[in-house]
Amino acid sequence: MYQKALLGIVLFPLIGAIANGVFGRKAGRNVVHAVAVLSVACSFALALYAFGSLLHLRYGQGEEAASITYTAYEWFSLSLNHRTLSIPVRFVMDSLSGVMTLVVTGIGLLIHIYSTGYMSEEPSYARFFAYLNLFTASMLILILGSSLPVMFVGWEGVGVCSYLLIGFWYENPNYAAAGRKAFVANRIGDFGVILGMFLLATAANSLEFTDINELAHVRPTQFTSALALGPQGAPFWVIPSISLATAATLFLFLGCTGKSAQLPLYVWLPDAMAGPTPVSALIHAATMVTSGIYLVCRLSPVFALAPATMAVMAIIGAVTALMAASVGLVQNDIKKILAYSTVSQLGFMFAAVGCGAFAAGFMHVYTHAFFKACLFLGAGSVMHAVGAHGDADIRTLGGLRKYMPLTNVTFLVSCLAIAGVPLFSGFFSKDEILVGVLSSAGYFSFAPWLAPTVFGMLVLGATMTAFYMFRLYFLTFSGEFRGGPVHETHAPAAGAHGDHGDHEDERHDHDAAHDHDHGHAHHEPHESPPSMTIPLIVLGVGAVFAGYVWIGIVHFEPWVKWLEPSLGSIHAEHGHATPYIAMAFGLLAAVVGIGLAFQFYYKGSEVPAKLATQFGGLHRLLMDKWRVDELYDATVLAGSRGLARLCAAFDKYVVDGILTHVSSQAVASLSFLFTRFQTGLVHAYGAVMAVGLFFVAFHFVVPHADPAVVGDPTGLSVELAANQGLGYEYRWDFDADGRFDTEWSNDSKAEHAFSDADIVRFAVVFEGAGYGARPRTLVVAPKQEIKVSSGALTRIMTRGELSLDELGESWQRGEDAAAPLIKADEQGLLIKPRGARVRKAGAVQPADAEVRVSRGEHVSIGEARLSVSGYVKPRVQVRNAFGMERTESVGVVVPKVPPRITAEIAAVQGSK
Amino acid sequence: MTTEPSHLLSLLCGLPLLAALAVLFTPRQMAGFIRGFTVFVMVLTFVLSLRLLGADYGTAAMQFSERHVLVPAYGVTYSLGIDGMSLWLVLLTTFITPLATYASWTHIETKLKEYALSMLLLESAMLGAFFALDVLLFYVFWELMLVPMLLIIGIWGGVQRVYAAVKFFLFTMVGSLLMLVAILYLVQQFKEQTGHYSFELRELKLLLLPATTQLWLFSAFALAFAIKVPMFPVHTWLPDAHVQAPTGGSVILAAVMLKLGTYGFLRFAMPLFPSGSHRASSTLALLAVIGIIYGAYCAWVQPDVKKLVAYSSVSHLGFVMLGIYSLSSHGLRGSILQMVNHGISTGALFLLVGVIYERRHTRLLDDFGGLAKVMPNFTVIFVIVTMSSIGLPTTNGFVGEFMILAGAFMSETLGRHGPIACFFAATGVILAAIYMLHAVLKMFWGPLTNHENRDLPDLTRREHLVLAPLVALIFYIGLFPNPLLKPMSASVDRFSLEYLAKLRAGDQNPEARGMLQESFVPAGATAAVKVPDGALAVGGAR
Amino acid sequence: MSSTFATWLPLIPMLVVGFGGFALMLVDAFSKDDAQLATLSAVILFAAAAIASALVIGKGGAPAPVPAALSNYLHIDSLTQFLNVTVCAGGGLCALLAGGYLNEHALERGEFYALLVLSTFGAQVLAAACDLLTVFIGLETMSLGVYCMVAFRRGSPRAAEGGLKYFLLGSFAAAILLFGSALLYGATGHTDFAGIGESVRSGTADPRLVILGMLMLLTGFFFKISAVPFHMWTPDAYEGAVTPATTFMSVVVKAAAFASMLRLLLVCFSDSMLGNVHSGWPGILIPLAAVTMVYGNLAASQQASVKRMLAYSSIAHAGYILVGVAALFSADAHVRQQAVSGVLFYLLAYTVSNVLAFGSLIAIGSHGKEAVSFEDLAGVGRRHPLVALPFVIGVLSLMGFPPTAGFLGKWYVFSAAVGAGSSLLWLVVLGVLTSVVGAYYYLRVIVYMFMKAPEPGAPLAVPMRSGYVALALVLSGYFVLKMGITPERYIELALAAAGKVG
Repeated sequence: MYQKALLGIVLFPLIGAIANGVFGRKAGRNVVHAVAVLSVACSFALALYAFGSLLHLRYGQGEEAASITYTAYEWFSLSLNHRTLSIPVRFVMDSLSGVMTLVVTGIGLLIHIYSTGYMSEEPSYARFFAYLNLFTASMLILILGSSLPVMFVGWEGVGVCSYLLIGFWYENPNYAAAGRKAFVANRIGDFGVILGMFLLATAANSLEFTDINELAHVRPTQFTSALALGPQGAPFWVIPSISLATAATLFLFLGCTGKSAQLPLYVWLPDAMAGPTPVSALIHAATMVTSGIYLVCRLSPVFALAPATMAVMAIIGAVTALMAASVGLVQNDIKKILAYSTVSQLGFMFAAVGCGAFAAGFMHVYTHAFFKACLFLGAGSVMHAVGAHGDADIRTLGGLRKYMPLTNVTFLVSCLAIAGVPLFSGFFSKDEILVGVLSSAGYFSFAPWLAPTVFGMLVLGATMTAFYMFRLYFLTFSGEFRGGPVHETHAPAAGAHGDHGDHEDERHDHDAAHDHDHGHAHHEPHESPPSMTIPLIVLGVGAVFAGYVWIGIVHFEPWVKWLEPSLGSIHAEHGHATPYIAMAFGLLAAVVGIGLAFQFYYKGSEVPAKLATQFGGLHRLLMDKWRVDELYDATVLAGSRGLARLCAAFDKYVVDGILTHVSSQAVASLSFLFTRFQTGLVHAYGAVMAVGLFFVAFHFVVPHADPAVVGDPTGLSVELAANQGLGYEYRWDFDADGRFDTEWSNDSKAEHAFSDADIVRFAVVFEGAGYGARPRTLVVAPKQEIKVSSGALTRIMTRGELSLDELGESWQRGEDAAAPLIKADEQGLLIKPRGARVRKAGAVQPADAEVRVSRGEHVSIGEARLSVSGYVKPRVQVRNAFGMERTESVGVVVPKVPPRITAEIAAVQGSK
Repeated sequence: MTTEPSHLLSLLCGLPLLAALAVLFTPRQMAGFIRGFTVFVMVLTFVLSLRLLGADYGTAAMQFSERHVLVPAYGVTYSLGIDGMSLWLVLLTTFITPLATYASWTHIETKLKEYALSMLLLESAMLGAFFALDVLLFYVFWELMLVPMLLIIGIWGGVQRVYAAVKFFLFTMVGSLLMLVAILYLVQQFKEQTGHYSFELRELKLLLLPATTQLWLFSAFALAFAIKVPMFPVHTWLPDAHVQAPTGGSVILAAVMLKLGTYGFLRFAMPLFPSGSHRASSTLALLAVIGIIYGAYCAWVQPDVKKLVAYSSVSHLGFVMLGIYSLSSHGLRGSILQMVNHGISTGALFLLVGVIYERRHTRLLDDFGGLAKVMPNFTVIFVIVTMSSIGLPTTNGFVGEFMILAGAFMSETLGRHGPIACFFAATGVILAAIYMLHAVLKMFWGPLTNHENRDLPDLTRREHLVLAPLVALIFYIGLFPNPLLKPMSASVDRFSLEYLAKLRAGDQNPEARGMLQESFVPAGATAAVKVPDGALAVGGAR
Repeated sequence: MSSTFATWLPLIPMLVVGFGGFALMLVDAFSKDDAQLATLSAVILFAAAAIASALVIGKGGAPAPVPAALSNYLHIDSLTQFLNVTVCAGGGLCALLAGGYLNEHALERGEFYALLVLSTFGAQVLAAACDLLTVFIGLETMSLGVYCMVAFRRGSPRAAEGGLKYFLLGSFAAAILLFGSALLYGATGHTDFAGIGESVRSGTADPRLVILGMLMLLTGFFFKISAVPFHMWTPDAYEGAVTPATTFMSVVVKAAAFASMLRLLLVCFSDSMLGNVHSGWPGILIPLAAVTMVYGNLAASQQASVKRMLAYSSIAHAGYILVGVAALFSADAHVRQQAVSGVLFYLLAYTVSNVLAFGSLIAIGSHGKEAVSFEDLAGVGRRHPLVALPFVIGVLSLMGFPPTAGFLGKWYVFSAAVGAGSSLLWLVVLGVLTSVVGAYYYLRVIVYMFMKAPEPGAPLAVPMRSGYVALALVLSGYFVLKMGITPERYIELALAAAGKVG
């Protein structure tokens, strides 16, 4: 029964979306938001129900790894190692996805309610709610999807929704561009997810999360084995030799950096603030952007097997946290500050999971959802109050405390939470993260410096966070009101450009963008309607108390134990002092940050201005967000656009030029040339005919020898035949010593038994490894050597050369891979195996042996086969009826060693 | 084999032909009648073709097969049949053609009669090509397609229509004539082995040739098909043809004709010459990957949206070819599915471009912008189709692409190169998003600057009627691909079994030439099949 | 009594045509009012064709007994009869074309038909000849008529020039041929094919004389079939001649010459030494075929005049047929039979296709204004679809495009060549590649008729209204499609005609 609930959870928002999308344009606003809110409400209710039954299973039935599964139908199926790998549309709720579902549906519901107030004047109201519902549905698919592909449906779905919502006011080209930027950045991530997915599938023979994690527990070797890619012996910089787990997790992490706005792909998130504020709250703060961490936690057992990836995650997380926070210090736009604080908080989370503190990271996802959503909605409320849809410059605000008390309180508690002040939710999660980071020192045995460094960066980041959040708070709510938005600008710094141009942009954006709130750009701030304040209050409460699940006052079991069954773990030990160290630093960070902000912006001092002037360069750099967008524009984007233009030009001028114009021109000019012959002069015609006649005659006057071998000579005696012709006579010189061995005769055929003395060269027939490899014949003289080159990548081999590729995969013995020495002498070939596995008559030869292969014999090197035959080049002289003579020669392989036999193939195939 | 003799295929193939005759003798004044009648016949064909679903595709055997000997002396037969590999392509053809034709009636004023004629001929030729199980018959249909398309492009096309039409014709001709030579040689070899001529695929399949010979013959076939697909670098006829062709022409060209290239690989080139194909496989896979990326990059900077879509076809069909050469069960099924998907989504794209072209008589991206304001429905559908074209999950594009990529990644024949190929192919996923969204951004978002766009009408009822089924299919296939994938399985598995078995049979002696016995694939064999002794007919090997 | 009659029976087609020719002269001489000579001659020729086909269908390849007096000179087997059909059908169709053309362009003079019929008779003799003397007689009878027909348009200098060139070079070629015959006679003491072949095989003959004789004989034929580089006369003569005469040259003369060449190679020079692919006659046929295909197609591709384009294309087709002839060296009797039948089929197919093309060209012009250049075709498809349609079918068939007679012809000849072994493979590849060029210039016809509008102010070609031409078009068009769609009947006939060769 309760399995069906999962389906409902996903379906309700979807139905809402379709309903509003199709009929919304006609329906009235009340209907629209009734449908939207109700659908999410239902899904929330069902989520509670499902979660309840999950609890029941866990504590009532006492199932450790309790989970609820609902399978809809088989989507499609792959076939892997000759076993079908079915991919069903299946939803699973376990301890991890359960929590996430509650968060998404719950906060989603609040934000839907909030939007009814916030978007009340939006003309395309229905479209907005359709998108929002669609997003909720996709997000839920992402969370509940039981396998990577199903998860991927949601993964891309939320991407599209954010694309549509960021570009919601599409008439502003910057907004639309921001949307596209977000989508493309996400796509780059998705590319990584797809490849990671395949890698895992090859290892686990399954795409279900449960199977993969299960396997990671029972047979980690499946993942830790190095993966074999690319051509034999390709150098590391072509194909780095890393473990499968590392490769897979790195690719997946690429996906996470896209979705969760980490370096290097975070650039889309600040621009994403172009979307309506509720969207920023729901998608770009609370839910979608955290799905990266969710994915890591989902596959944490596999990630735990890849220390390298973990290290990368930790570092990137920490760096992102620090860098984003530093940008946040100086921004003046509310939403932009919040955006960067989101990026930075996400950095915290990745640093946490990177250090193996999965539970802590996910905890932060959970608490962050509350206070960050609350902050965004508060910001929205503020902007609503001062009549600035889109953005508000905090320098123009202030003193809003008295105008909008509710907003003020909720905003304050959220600030305290994010700053990590004790007893607020943020404190617990942040503290746990710090503990986790410190205690991971043992795990990163290969980089002892890593854990402390990350810890330091995070503490610094935390300090900055506390500072800029309270800077924001003080400037907005304390002091006196500074008159609201100058020239009602309400476009955020959208588009991939620095801030300088922005104010101009915004002014012109504003005309383009939704003109509806021209009329009521209120000059007296006011508290927002209940539809907006109630969600604020709820979230505020959450921001305060959500953390207590940690120490288990509210909740009846500590968080870690709850998540244990779904999370992987790393071997992390911490001395009993560690928690106190972490907590001390955490507190310090909060106190220092808040203290400074208080000094600078509450008391109001000149220090910030001084600093700004003193470190002008740095300040400007921070204002321009380290100019990363500019960097990307100049390098990646410009590069690929150039490449695209190059391709187009190449296509037009080179490819089509050669295929179409060159060929047609050739035909035309030849035709022109030919028609020149048509002079119209009859004697010229006669002359041409005469010439023709002459050539015809010439053909008959010169003899045509064309000697050839008859059949496959099995022994040393060979039957040769030259061309027949009327009145032809022949004589042969078999040993090619210049003296003819036979007299003139009419017989075009000749038979000759070669003696060993005649044979001065060898034909080495080389049949490469694997089926379809074409045999090659190398003619070698005594003293000549056959080079065995380490054919790194496929390249043309010269005539006396073999490539290691052709020797087959397992050609060498042991690790030492010195290529064999192959040279010829009078009797045949001499092979010094060295590193190679040389088998003669089935027996593997010692490395330093001189393996002799004389005529008619063969050896196999690795999977390839070398057979040696003699090579002679007899000559024939032909004389025709007109007494003209001609001498030609033909190369003969004696005796031809029969091609490799089935048994050997089987052996080779077997050994593969 | 269906037990009772059926003439359904002949009927499907012949119906449009008869209708064409009827149209030929209709006075051109009766324009209305010609319009209605043509579409009616096409719809009728579609309805009839639905009966093809009735057969049992659990087996790899040919369904609805027909066979009459045409030229006894040279073993030329009229043998038709379909299996899981061709089923959906046939349905795609019968489904898209009426839509394309119906959509054309708005902008084909001149020589309406000839247009109807060409469309009908085209349909029966394409169906014939999909049905044919005799190489010569296939060749005839294959060539027959050219003339109507030549006329469609050349008469009703754009400014450079003659250049485009002739280019299209000659490019295809080069390939197909070389293929003809290969066919002749193949049959000659067959005769040397068996003493009698035969052009029947069923028999020719059993012929085993030396690997080098196979390589040559395969190359000839492959060239013909690669030009049609089109694969890099012989794709350059496509952009011209697409841009110049009228909407209906572009739709048919993209949706069906290109598929005949990929289908040709599956039905003829690969089963006939496995060793040759195997030697060429890495090259073809490489070309496919190049095509994916190269096509995408070219598409990105095209000022003309139709050209952009044309290049995107090069990219998409690169995926299909890659899937085919992964030779893994799901890679192949994915490819066939992707052929259908591409037919639907690109067909829809060309229809949409046609819609806007009729209104504005321009296709330059710069002339648009902000259309979402004035044409909301058009925008919605365009975006949906775009999403399908860039392979968004829950749209049809995703399943195909995913299976293909997975196929390449886990391919046995590509081996260690598979993942690399997959890696680069997957970048196509990113690029697709870039160029398609670029087009969407330029056309629909942003302010409505261009005054000529101020009061463009939204989609008409006719256009809704044409586009709705396509959109429906996009989601249906995206959500429930299995009904399409299941019927393929048997044929596809049989295909790869035969391919590998014949390949191995060839390898055991690369010089061998001879006849394989009917049962050279042991029943119930896995893909890792070993050829039973004596599969090579005694005395066959020379 | 009946037996003697039986021996004359196979000769009836020839006799009908021969006497018919004289009868025509008389009629022309004595009937001042314009009798329907076209009808008459057409009837004669078609009758002959009918009888011949009846005969060829009647029996297999075995030579029919002919009166003792002739038996050494004429060899009437089903090959001969098949050629009778081809030649007479070609002649008849040309007569129909002439019926419309001459009258339209005010050239209506009776002797044309007499010439036409008589040179058709010559063609028949040439096809049946099994002796160097009859070869020469047949060849000259045929040629003389054609010389006159080429120069038929008295007033026009072009015609005179073309005729003269053809005549001069023709006599040059004839001389070479005669010289070759003399050498062969000297070497072997025989003029009959069988005898020559016998003594060549037995090795009694002096190889040098044999070789020289052979290559001179062949040269004579190369000229008639206008193989490069013995083709120089072709464009001028074709262009200068009245179009029906051009048609006649391109189909009948070519057919007869090829037939005789086939017989010569099969009977006289079938010796394994002479037939050796490298040292024997294939060694010259192969490169000649290659050059001819390349030259013909390339030269045709840039012509502004449709007539001249068709002239060059006829050279190209000679190349394709030569590919089939070259396949005769094969040791495999099946392949040889395939080659012969292929060539025969091709000749028939080419006859109908070419008549269709030339016929449509004729039909497009009227009242002294002939359609010659591509420009004249502009927009015809729009204005006169009924004239354009046969033209399209015609060029598609010449292009070798399925499902037309032309495609089957190419397919047949090329498969014979492929059967003959790898030494001809490259030739076949070259053949198809050049026919891509061919496709280009044949397409131009379609392009101009359907996709181009005439230059503003340019005189529009007005199609003629002529029952004769219409009939010719319908007949040839019917056969082009018939042979293309249901070829088995004709292939069987060709095979039967080829009989058990060699």
